[in-house]
Amino acid sequence: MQMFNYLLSYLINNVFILMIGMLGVYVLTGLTGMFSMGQAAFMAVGGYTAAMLAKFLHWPLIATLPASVLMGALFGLLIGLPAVRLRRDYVAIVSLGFGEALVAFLNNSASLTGGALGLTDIPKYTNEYIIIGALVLIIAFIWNFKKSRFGRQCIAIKSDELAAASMGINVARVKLLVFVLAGAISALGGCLYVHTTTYLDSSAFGWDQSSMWIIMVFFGGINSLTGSIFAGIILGLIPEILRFSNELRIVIYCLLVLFIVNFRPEGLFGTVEWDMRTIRRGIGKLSGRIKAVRARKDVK
Amino acid sequence: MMLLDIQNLAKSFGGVQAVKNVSLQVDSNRIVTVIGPNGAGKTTIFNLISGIYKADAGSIQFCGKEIVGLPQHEIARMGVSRTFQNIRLFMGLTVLENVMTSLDPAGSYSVFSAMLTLPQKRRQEKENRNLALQALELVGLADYRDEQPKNLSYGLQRRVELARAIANKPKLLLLDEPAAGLNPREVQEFIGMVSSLRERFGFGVLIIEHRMQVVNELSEHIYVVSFGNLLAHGSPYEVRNNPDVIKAYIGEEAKR
Amino acid sequence: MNYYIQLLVNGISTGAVYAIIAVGWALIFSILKFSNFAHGGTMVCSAYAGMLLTRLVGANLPLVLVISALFGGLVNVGVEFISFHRLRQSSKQVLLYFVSSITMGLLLQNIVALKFSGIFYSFPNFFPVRFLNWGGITFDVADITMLCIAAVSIAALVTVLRRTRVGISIRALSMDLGATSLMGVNVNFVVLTTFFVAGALAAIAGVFVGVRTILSPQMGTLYTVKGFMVCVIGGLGSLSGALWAAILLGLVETFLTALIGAGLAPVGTFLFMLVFLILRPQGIAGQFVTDKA
Repeated sequence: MQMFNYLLSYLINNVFILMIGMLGVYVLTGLTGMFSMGQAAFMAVGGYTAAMLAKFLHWPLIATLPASVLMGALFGLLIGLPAVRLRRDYVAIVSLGFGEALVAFLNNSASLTGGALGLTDIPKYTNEYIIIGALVLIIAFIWNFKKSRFGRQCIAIKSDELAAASMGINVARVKLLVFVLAGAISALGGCLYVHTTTYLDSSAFGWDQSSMWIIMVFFGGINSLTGSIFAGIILGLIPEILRFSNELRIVIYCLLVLFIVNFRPEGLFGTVEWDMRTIRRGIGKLSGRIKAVRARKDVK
Repeated sequence: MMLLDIQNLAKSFGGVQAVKNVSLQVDSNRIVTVIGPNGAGKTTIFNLISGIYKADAGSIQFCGKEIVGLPQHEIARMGVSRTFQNIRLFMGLTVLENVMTSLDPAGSYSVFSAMLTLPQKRRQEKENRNLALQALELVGLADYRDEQPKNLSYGLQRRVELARAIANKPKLLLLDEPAAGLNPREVQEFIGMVSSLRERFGFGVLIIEHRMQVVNELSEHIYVVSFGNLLAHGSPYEVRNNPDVIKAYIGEEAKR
Repeated sequence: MNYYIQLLVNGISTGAVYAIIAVGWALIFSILKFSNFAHGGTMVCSAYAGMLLTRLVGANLPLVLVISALFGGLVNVGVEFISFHRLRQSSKQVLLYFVSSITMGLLLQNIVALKFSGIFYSFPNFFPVRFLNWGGITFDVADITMLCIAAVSIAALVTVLRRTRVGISIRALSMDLGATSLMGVNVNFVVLTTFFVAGALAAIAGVFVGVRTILSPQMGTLYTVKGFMVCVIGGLGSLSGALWAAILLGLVETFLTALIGAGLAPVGTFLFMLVFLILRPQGIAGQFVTDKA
């Protein structure tokens, strides 16, 4: 029971928050096909904004949250503007470079941000309900986004940019929108992260974190939001359940992913989403099978 | 005013002049075909019209407006729809969603509306769903609406592409080798479909084709293109009997 | 004045390390058209292997280089088998290669970290005299040696590519994989050879990084990122581009570090790269390939 409680708390306070950051990668890379390699930097943007506003200006959560989101959106715009004009492969390098540059900057501007030591004693504003609520809300937003004309346009762009443009889709504009959205989402995660752990250090926001998110989105099935959620939970929890050293966890983690790459490249869920229709169909199939088994038993 | 008026179009890639000097016209409610040997520059002409490439010289006027130099999506929104030689359906979207993508750019609800599922979004989604379904019914694919495109046969995929192209009621429809890969029965069905769609919607149709069946039965006017130049144009009868055309396709009698 | 020449020398040395890494990276990109993000992982593995070797054989640079190179080549071949082999047969989706190689790189790096993290390891001193002073400028003998070896390796690579059968096969593969296989070339063999060579180059780079600085498992990520940046600036897939871009980046970084400090240098590098790409999107030597519509 102790273990379960501990795991639950870990799930909510750590995994869920990082999942919010990951969902930024889902929107950018999973839905729209742009390789975002430095997404964790947007979480840093949100986190540092919230931390500084809360610690130095004593703003409450109700204010630091929108401020972080706005900053994330702004940075998304800044990075998106050059990125969407360059070739698709270059989005990767631009986001990567941005991530590295931001981390370097935060590490070195000691007076403002506490440098490599990080800020401490940030007010703890969050509790489990807020975190769960935020995650559920973000998932709902992204779900609706995906089922809207925007989601369809994103998937179209990912699948075939040329054909998408010939349908009248303004590819550059949609990509930019997605950059802004993804930045906002990851920044939100950052704000919650900072207010939960009450200290922050830039090592959580580097390339290792960004790649972890990409792996999660891919593991779940690139198109599938449900997949990303499951992947986030599974890949977030497993290392904690197997309470090994930090490096061994990552090794096991990587082996798991490489296994999936080789034997189920479309990811766990592929393109399947657990929306109402699929769930109903699944239940229908299941009850059909149960009936068939019963019928066979009766005949005997 | 002509629906589509192309004058002296020219385009080269590096050293290769794909289109040298082509003029052609398409009017509303007419079906025009472009034929010619492979490499004649036909698809390039299409790509110039839809804005994938920019013409080096010449003009393309659509409904009286010059469209050379405009970005692809703007040209599409003006009412030009097209299909592709290699089917370009969107993987990851169902058949119905594929068709809806041609209606999406004209949608008016904002991102916030989308994320919060406001009534405006729900209403538009429902409308677009119906419009897309109607388009699918017109090509006979309403039952396949929730399938993944990659699960459909080639012929059915072509029909989905067609539905997608007409769902937003375009003014000009560009079809690039629409009968390629279809068996004779499918070609016949296809001809019937294009004909009835044209009657229903009154758009102008420009087709690139090699299959003589399509060319003969559908075209009201034919343009023959060879090596980037316009060889001849006219009614099917005129073109069939044009000596230059015969020479280009078959060759001429050897001089004794 | 001396100060600037010193910076120049340092910049070129840094650039030389980047060059070895980037050339290996570009080699793989040119034949397989994707970026191998595990490259840094191979490098760090081989570097540590080299270090372990010195415990056995002492400070014998040639031997260490050769054996590390062999080791690196083998590791890279392993990387191909685990990460890319099956993907190449089935899927063409770029994202998959991407994720697979990132994961592989993480794996290699963390395996190293598992055994060696915490303490900083370094190579013994290979050179009896480490620093030479000439005309007021300090030359690091290690750097000079590395420059020579880098030049020799790259020259050897170019010779192999131009003159040998395998080399021609590699170049053919980079232009058209399908046609090359139809010509009777054993594609798998050529791919594995390429990976081996790239791995060997990564290993050499790793040893030199270890000699110039300290060994740390994080090297993997760091040099993966650098290698990618260099290749993009050089023009993806172009070996000569990678070479020039590496030296360029080495110089830029050295000057930036002198200007704004090692901590903030990545910011400057990023801005430099951004501006460069906006002004010349195809990189130094790359070419635009337009989609056939």
